[in-house]
Formats: sequence, C-alpha cells, structure tokens
Amino acid sequence: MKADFKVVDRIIESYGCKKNSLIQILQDVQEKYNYLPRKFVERVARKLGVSLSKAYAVATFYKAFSLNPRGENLIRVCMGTACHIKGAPEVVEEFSKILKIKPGETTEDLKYSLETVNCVGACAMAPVVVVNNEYYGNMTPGKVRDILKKKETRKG
Amino acid sequence: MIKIRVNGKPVAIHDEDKTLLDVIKEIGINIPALCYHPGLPARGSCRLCVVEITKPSWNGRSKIVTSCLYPCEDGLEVLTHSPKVIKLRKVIIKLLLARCSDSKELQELALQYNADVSRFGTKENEKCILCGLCTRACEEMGIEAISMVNRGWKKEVAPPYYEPPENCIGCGACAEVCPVGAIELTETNGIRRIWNREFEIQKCVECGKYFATVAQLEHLHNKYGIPLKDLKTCPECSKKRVGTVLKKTFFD
Amino acid sequence: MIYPEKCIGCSSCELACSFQHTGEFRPTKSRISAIRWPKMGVSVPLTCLQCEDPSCMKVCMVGAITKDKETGLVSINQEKCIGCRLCTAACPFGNINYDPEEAIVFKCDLCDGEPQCVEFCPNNAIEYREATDALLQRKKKVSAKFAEILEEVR
Repeated sequence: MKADFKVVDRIIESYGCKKNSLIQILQDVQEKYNYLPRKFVERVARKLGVSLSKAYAVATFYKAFSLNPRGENLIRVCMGTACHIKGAPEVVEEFSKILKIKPGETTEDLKYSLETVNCVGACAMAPVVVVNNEYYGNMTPGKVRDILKKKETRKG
Repeated sequence: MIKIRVNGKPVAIHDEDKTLLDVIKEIGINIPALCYHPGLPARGSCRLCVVEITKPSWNGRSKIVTSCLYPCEDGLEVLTHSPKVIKLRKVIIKLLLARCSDSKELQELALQYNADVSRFGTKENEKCILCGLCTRACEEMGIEAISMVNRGWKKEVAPPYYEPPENCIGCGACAEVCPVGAIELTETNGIRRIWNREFEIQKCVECGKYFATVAQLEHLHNKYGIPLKDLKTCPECSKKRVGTVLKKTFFD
Repeated sequence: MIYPEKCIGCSSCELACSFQHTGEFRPTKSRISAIRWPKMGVSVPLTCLQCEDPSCMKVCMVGAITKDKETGLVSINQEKCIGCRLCTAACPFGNINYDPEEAIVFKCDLCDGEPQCVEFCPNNAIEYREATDALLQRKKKVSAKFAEILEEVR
C-alpha cells in the first residue's frame, strides 16, 4: 500500500503538483491501475488542494476513467449514430451473451470489461469495436467470437 | 457609458460589468431565470433567460444568447420577448417540465408560456433541474461538499461517492438557493438532516434553544479563529450577555 | 448612541422597529431589543453597532453583507444572501437574527437614516446623530469600562 502511494505521489510530482493537472494525473493513475482506486483519488485531491467533490466530478465525467476495476481487456463498442445504424446494438448483445456481462460490467475473472462509447471517430468503418487500443471495423455479431478467440490464444 | 436598447427602449448603463440580465431586471422586465442568483457566479445552465440580440451592423442577423452571461455591449439591441425567444423558451420549459413534471415553479412557467402539452416523455420522481446553484453556493462557501457527478442522462448532484459528505457543515445554503426545492433538509430534536448526513445542532448554553449546527460553529472557529466558547450562545443570549455587561457598566 | 439610564423598558423601540420592517407589531421581529431586569427597574436597549470590522461581513462568502464607507452602515443585501446563516452565529453581540417564516437573516438598517426606534423612544434613551467630540469621549469611556467588565465576566 505504501509503495502504491509512492507511485501515485511520483505521478503527482511529475506534473508539478498543480491543480490544473488533475485530469492528466488521473489519466496516469488510470493507466497504471486500470481504474481509479478511491484511496488514490482522495490522495490526488488532497495533494493538489482540490476538493474531493471536484475530483469525483471529473472522475465520473470522463468515460476514460473507471471507478471500478476494469478487466485486462477493455472492449469498447461504438454506439455513435453511424455505428448504431449499422448494427452496433447486435454486436454489444453478442459480447454480452458470450461474456455474460452487461455493458459497464467486468467479468468475474477480471479478463474483460465491456463498455459502450458514443463515437470513436471512425464512422467510415462502422460499426467499430475497440479492444484495448486495436480497432476492428465493419463488425458483425459473427466476428465477435473471432476477436475473443484471438485474445485467448494471444494470452495462451 | 454603454448605450443599448431593450425592446426598443434606450437604456444607458454606467457599470460596464453588468450583464444583459442585470439590466433587463433593473428596468423591470420579467424574464424567467431559474439558475440565476445575484450572490453567485452566473452559469447559464437553465437557458430560460435567453434573449435575441442584434446590432445595426449585423445586416439584419440576430443571435440568441443567455442574458445572465452576456455582457452589455454598446449599440446592442435586445429583444426579451420576440417570437423567436418565446418559441425557444417554450421548448426549454417543456424539456425541463418533462424532466421534473411535479415542479410547481415549472408548472407556473408552463402556464405563463402556454407550454402545457409536453411531447417529450416524462421522468418520474425527479425534482432537480441540474442548474448547479447548489454546487455554486457550496463552492462559494469554500466547502465544496457536493458537485455535479456523472454525465449525460446520468448526471446528478451528489456528494463524492454518494456518501454523507465529511466536509459539509450543514449550513443549508444549497437547499436555500435551490429554485425548485429539490434538496431535502429536515430538522427534528436537535438533528439536522441533509445529504444523508445527520448534524448535531448546538443547544444554546444559556437558554437551551437549538440555533446552528455544531459543524457550522466549528467551521467558524477553524476558519476565523473565533473561540468556540463564544459561539455556543444563541443570538438572543449573546445580546443578553452584552446587555448584562452594559448594565454593569452603567448601573453598578 | 444609547443612554441605558434613560431606558424605561417600554418596548416602543421594538414595536416601532418591527412595524417599520414587517408591518406588524412583533418584538421578535424587531432589530432592536431592550434587555430588562424588571426587579431592578433597569433595562438596556441594544441593536447593531455597525462595527468597524464586522464579523458578520467577514464570514459572508458571497458579499451579501457590506459596510458603507461613508455612512458606516453595515447592511445585508437580501438578494445576494444564500442563507448559510453563518453571520447569525458570528456576530458576537447577537445582532443578526434569522426569521424562519421569511427564511431571511435580518439586522438593523438604521431605517435609511431615520431610525424609527429613535423616533418613538419616549425618553430619548436612543439617539442617532453626528458624532461630536463630546460623544466620542463618552463612547470611549463607556467602551473602556465595558471591555473591563467583559473580561471579568469571562
């Protein structure tokens, strides 16, 4: 725990402990731990002299932040207008069925998190799914299993 | 000095920091502005105070702006009730009413603007219009116990992690400034409840009357160094104390 | 300026004040009160002292309480007030009160320069006038003694 606080403190220091670096600091913490543990949000707020309510407001505003542990693999299905029209809901449903989680949830083994986002800016290849930082365009429910299989074999 | 026209009537403004809404209110024109409070920074979140503005040099074009945020500019022509403004305000009222159908304040506005039929679905048991007056009040108080959390349709006012806020002093300013009475504050048997937290109310050490939350008094002590023992009497008894000293000064 | 020795505890000031501000004769809504010791036949009229460095103003975070540089009047802007009520607790003299019916805090506003309490005091126990050297002298003397006794009381 103490070591973890040191890591967070180092992140805070790297931005000069400035109030207006709140978002960047939270981003780094998010990257490091795959979510924003409460004790770190409190730590960052206290160190920067920002109220906890403000830090919490920021942490809940951006989709990039998660207050609950996220899985190793983050699956984001774009539900922007174009993707929505071209069948994104069916893609989400397929992921949900296979992984047995709803959007916004994480599998019990902490392997996958499923999320819907509003636009990833790649409408030309709608519907789009982003797994970690890889983009998969022209998605169909049929391709869902392939993606998951690929993740499994890569791990294995 | 800035000269503008409001609904065709010329108005001279000496204080350049004034917003259009300040001027509109001053000359006695009534436009709705639910998220506006003279003691707090304006935010333009309820959108009800929209007005139409134009200038001779804009070639007949006009703009819709929130008057609570728009500064007075020389030569501006402001319309507070033009057909365009009325139409927009009506939609805004309908949207707000769709969110908070039980709000008396909104129902009154709807009546006034003839916006009784809502073509939007209604949300149940929602009182808050998300105007942010409460969070601004709390911020100005220097407390910041509550904030706007989440976004989009999940947006709401809450303390961090939806837990009773530790730093709240239970002053009740948030409930006081709320234009639609959405924040619940109750007081029973010396306990004030707000934001799911219970606050002990100080009993006057002289007369036993409850008068302010202990947290409020501690806040005064911590921030201004006023000795706690001086804060434990209610205003009436403080006055009596002064009276006693004065009595001694004059008569003993 | 108050002259406690002249005060007869008749309540005229309280009634005049509450009527002026609320349209009702209700001493609880008066900005001035006479503190009475009936057995001794003594009473002291008390209202806002328009402090040099007002505590109420200091704790008001939204600038609803201001002190007029020229007249010295400490006044509350009801429109700006957000109702935190810290001022009522901060005034060491108990001269700001909260009215739960109207949900406002209130204090003496000197009736815009024509204090009704002065007008209606039958015995001139309350005066409102320009400070003269003699008056200031008296004030100083009283304050010195006041401070002395206050220390003892504590």
